[in-house]
Amino acid sequence: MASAANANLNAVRETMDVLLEISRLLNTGLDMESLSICVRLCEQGINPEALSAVIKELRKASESLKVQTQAPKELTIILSKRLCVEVV
Amino acid sequence: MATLDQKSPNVLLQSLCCRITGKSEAEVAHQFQYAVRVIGSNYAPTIERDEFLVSEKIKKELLKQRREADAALFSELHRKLQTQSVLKHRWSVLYLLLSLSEDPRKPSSRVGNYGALFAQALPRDAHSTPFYCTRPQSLALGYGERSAGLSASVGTSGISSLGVYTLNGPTPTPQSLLAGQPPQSAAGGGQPLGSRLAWTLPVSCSPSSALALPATRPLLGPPVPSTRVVRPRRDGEVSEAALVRDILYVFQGIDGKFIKMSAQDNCYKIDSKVVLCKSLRDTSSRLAELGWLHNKVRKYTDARSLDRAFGLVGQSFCASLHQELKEYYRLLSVLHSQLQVEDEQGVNVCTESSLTLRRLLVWMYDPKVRLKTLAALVDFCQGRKGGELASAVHSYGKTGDPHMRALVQHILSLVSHPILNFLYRWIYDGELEDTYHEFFVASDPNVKTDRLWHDKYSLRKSMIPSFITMDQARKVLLIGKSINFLHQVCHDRTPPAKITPASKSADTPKDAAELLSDLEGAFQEKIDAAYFDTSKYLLDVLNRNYLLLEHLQAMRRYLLLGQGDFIRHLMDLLKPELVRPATTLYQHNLTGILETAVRATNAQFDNAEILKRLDVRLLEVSPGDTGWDVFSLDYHVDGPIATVFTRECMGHYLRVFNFLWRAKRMEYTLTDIWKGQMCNAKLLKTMPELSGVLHQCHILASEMVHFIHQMQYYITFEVLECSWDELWNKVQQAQDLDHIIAAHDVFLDTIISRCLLDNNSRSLLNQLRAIFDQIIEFQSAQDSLYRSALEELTLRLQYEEKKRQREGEVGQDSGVQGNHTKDARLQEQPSIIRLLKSSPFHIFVLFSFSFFQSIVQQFLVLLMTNSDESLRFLSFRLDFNEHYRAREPRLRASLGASRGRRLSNI
Repeated sequence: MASAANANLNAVRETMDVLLEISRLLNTGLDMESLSICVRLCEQGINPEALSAVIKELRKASESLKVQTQAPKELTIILSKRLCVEVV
Repeated sequence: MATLDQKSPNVLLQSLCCRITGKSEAEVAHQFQYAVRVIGSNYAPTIERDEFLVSEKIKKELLKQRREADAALFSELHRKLQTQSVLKHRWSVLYLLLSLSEDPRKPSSRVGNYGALFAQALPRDAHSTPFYCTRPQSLALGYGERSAGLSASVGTSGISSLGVYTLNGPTPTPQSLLAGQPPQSAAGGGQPLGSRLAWTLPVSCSPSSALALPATRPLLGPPVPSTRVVRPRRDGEVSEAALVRDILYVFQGIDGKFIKMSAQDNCYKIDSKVVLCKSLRDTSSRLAELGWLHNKVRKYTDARSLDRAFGLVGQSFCASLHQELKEYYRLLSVLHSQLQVEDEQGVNVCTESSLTLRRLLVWMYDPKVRLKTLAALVDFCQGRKGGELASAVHSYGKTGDPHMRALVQHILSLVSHPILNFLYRWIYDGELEDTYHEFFVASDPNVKTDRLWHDKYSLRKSMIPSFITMDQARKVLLIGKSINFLHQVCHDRTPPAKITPASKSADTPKDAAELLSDLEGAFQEKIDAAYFDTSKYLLDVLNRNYLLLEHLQAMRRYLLLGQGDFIRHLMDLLKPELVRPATTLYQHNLTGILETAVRATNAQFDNAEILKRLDVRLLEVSPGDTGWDVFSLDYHVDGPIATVFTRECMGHYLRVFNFLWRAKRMEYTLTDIWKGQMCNAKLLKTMPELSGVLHQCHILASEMVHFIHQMQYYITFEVLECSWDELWNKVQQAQDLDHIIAAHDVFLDTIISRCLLDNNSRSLLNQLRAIFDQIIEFQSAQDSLYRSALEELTLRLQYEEKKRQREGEVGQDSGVQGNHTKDARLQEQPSIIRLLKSSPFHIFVLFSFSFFQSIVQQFLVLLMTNSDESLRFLSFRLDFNEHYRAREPRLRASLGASRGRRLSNI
């Protein structure tokens, strides 16, 4: 029983390694943890298109925040407005 | 971390947000909410859930970035991933990674682009003037497509911001976006400056660079921001992308927005009201042809596939067309999904492989050729079915184009599959399951079994596929016919597998295709093998169980008078019966005589099976006929044997028998005449006054004997034996029943024509008949002559006797002399009367003598002019010492002429 669980764990780890490697190849910019979260989300049947869109937007938001520290408020307003419109 | 424990998506999403933005949960609440909404509203993926497609796309992407080694590495990793069973949605993970991938050679793509974007955008946003004015235009359309998702919003942000610039006029600001771009996209980037120029060259740019016209195509393919070109909209102008979408519909035969089926011109036409540059119009018209071709093929299959009377071959033709159409649809669906992908997130994936009309033109070239071939086939096959259809398809396979040939071959293999199935069922089982009359063997259900071989089955010439030769078709017909004959007529129930050991039917169309490719070899071999086995078996059965050859010999022996002793004896026995008038003959009496004759001669050793078929038959009696005229032998045939000895054959045999029987009777009669002459010659020597007549009789008789002997010789050796030998050889070598039947027919025909029974030699036969009649007449005349002569002789002998007695008595008693002389005078009277009576006979003999000679001469003249060589030789035999030639000038002329002709021939 324990060995089976172990083997399963190994398989999972291997899979994750492979995925990480692919991710690196494709230059997705995901680290291990975000990747694992993404994989878990995908496994739960989340639409990858939407997920990728979310990630991109998040990145953009965070980067713009970093760059545009002087005007964070405007951006968030713009973003949230835009998003609201998009999603609705 | 690596374990895939089941947390709720929300928890995961939240940690993802934290992770990416690098902030605490509280700080990302806003982003988190947004993420939940996006994901919640886009739960169902719009893309195809195909891992393979995704992995291919990844590879393509890598290759496009000139990272072949990485592509190989990726395939390796992907394979490894496939061996693991941990992930259930591999495609989705891969797809995610693909969407997130970025070209490492665009170093600042992420940070720089967005940075620059926001850097540029914000000041304008700060003014907040044109941004919000332009947004609704593009955004409002986003409602239509829910699945556009956020990726679209990423794009739209670019579009709108750029759109602002271009709408505001070609400002240098966009150039800042291109700072980090490789040079090739700089060219695309230059387009907004010369957007007017771009309008005139729409095909040269990819659809992503073409303008997505919001009015017609909402959110079409949000492209890479760097190559984004926004053209000023013109009223009525149609973008290429819109046309592509339209064309894709037209490909399936559905009217598009701009391109519609024009009923009067029978082609797809772009709405003339639509403003469109000429090259686009031309290209789309060329592409639209596919739609027309598709419609044509589709219409045919739709019309036919439900038509049951169209038959199996037609059905399989429709099926093969469907198969081709399915391939075509598959291609269309790939194109569609490509379009969709472009619509939704083509940003990252395929910039260069996006759809343009020109691309379509190239990609659709092969399908177009295929569809064209199909349409041509459909045209050509209209109204054909069965083997005819296969022929039509086959004729299209004779082309030099290897692709087209392969296509047609494939269709042909499908089409011919049912035909080959029919064929194998037919040649191996003898079964004809051809409900729709598609096979080239036709069966007539009205024909009874006795005519099965001759009439029941026939070839439907039009249904013979052109890849099957006439010879093969005949063999096929023969094979199945033989099997049916065995089953139905011979009642032979041997399983077909035993007859043809190599029987194996083609089960799949693939086999059919193989056979088709090797028509001369394997197919021919198969047919030949089945043909030989079946025919051989049939002949064996006929010979073994039904004594075909024995019956043939029996015909020769009895109906063609081959069994000499039997015929002679039969004639001896029948003679008293046959001289009586035909009306007084009774069949049972004659049958009894026949049996007696059989028992008394060598015929008794014959097979009982044959003897029991031998019978007497009386022909129709016409007034004045004697038994000789109506008598004939008969041979009963039934069952399988009757196939060879058909009713017509038996009719021929009957005619030949009657002729031979008559000739035989002449010989018999002449024998009697000769016998009478020999017996009476000595007796009548005492009557010198008769010697003249008798001499004439002898001469005439010997002339007749000569004639009849030569005739008999001719009939026996030149006609019967020669033909028989030929027939026997042929029968021994026959491979199938048809050969035997044909040989037999030839045999009968030869005999009929050589025995002068056919129409051409009717005049000859008439002469011959006259000669025969003359002989009969002569016989009766001579008989009466002899009768009266012998009567006279006895009278004379009595007279002599009495005279001698009287002379003796004269010495004894002269007193009664006066009485006696009176008596002698009385006695002498009748003989004079009789002799006087015999003088017309004398005249008759002389007359018949010359008559006979003239008939023979005419006969000879006819013989000389006959084309048959053996008949000309007969004339030499008859006139061996040129006796007739000396009397007949015509004979001389024709003889000389014919000799001259022969010399000239040499």
